[in-house]
Amino acid sequence: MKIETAPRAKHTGRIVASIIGAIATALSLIIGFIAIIPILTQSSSALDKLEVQVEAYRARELTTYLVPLSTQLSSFPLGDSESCTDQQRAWLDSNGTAFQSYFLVTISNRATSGGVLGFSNIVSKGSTSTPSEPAIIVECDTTAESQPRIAPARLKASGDLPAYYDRSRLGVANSTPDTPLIYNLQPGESGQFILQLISLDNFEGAVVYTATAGTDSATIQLNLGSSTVIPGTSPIAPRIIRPDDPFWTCILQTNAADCVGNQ
Amino acid sequence: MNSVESGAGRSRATAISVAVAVPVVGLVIAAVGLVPQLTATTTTTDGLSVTAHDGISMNDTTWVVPVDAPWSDFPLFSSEDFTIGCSPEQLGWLSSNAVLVPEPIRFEFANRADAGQSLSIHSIHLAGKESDPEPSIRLRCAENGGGQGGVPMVVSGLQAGSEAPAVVGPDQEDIPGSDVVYTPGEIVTFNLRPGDTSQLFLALDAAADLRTFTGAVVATVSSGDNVRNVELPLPHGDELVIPVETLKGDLIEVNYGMAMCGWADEKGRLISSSGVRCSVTDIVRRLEGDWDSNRSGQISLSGNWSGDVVGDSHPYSINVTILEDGNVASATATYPEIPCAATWTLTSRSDSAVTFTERVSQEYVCYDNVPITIKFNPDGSLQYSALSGGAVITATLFRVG
Repeated sequence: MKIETAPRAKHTGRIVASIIGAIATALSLIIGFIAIIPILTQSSSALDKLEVQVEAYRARELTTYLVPLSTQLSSFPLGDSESCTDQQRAWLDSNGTAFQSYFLVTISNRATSGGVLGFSNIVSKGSTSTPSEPAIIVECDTTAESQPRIAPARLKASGDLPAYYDRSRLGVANSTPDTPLIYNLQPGESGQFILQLISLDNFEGAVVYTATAGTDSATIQLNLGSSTVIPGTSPIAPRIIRPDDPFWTCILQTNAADCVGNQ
Repeated sequence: MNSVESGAGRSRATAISVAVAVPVVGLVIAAVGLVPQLTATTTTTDGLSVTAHDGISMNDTTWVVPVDAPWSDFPLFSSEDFTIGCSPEQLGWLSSNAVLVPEPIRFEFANRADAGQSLSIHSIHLAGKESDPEPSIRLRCAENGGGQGGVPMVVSGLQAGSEAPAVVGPDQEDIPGSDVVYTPGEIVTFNLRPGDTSQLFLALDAAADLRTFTGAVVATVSSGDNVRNVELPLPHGDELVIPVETLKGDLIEVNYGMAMCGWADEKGRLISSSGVRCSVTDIVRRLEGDWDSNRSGQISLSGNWSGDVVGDSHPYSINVTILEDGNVASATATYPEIPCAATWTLTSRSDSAVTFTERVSQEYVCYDNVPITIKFNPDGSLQYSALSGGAVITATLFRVG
């Protein structure tokens, strides 16, 4: 009996061992496969992972006008508030040309892993022409008085410099230098900024930015609409004038060109 | 032969053992290696934790109370109580009959994930609807003011009715321990790595068009391709109401159990010089208009007033400083845009109006000897009218300074 039983037991043991070995190997394979799924499905930082969205900033409340200096500026309805009144808005509608100057830009790195995506160097690409007459830029913000002080990224469209943070409204303009706009976004990160476009000369063209991912780099157009047209103020440097600006009382006493220069 | 067989058997057994052990050990190692991956919480938008707290621990609570509230039930003490601000009974009445003006909210954000990419929070704004306010007055339970408690956080504010996203406030300081710099003037954006936390102190302002706001604080939360808008929680209740009173400038201030009726300055504080203790009867009378129509006989005109003059060839502003001594009042006025300066001398006074004669110096270009009438508006402002050069000019004057 013993002689007959021993080989059967050995045979059974070999079969069991083989089954255990096969199962363990199969499970290892499955676990290994599961382990590499995240590696296979991960979304690594690359230029196509940079999402940029642009919309008009506070379009219902904030309108920017170009007003020729030859307009009878003394007829502008005076107020004592930063906020633009209905009368002032009506005057600007009649005497100025509204243009889209402020945009809200949201940039996001949609990757889930990998390196940093760079967003920088917002510049204009297009043609310029000399305006037919000097003009001022008037900002009509119906809720200006209760709005926070913003530091928009300002781009002078007919110039060569990239957009920079204009901190003049914060009251610390002299202590904080204007700094260029640069974002470095880790995977999943977002940034938001207000882009303000003004121009010395008439500008028509596009606004572009540089995106970088590792050694990859691309110049991409910012989608501001069909075509970007910014009216110029030349030969007067572009200045933003608000309803409570001393400019409006200055022009009652002297000529407008001097008042612009006194800002 | 036996020893050869036995040796071969041992070799086979060893081989089988190895053939079994290696995959099993490999399996164990792989399983252990997989544990962190299986148990890790990767960043998703669902991993955002937001809690909301009252931003100020000791603050004046301010309420907007409908004019037709049951004022006769409002608990007032006949003598001073030791309760600072409103008593529990008064707060109970206010909770039932008034709307609390929301205090600043302190939000705590946390990315509860322990692996994965950053979680981004941005485009923080108010979303909701506006409606016309019902006739109402502002009531303030005057406690001693408080502060933010020294917790480092991002400070910002939102205004009802505006589509603007939250912007970092001008007083922002560096947050110790944070490797992110929040710069004043830039839009509030939080990028939270797995495990990161941050805080936002958010003040809420009434709509510029003075309508009542009902809605929520909304933010965009994104992680990878997953983007969604979320309503942020509130410290109290599910709905954010930013009420607006219709009786502008009027204010009832409650402290030590008693009420003071007066006028509010630009920051909503009682102007004590013109405030008088008032009873429930006074409050009701005041809300019915009796108080306002009799105000001229009781309330001082003294102070600085300002407004915009209309009716002349072009609009301009007026600044008036009125001095009052008993029933005798005088004033100095300037019209900065003309420019022109004048003095006013009292000519008559009734319960509803005060009249002056305006004299200007010869060197100025304004009309001299102009009759001026000041009437009292229900909202606490003054109605200025004058016959100047044959034209009737008017202005609504508001207290300034």
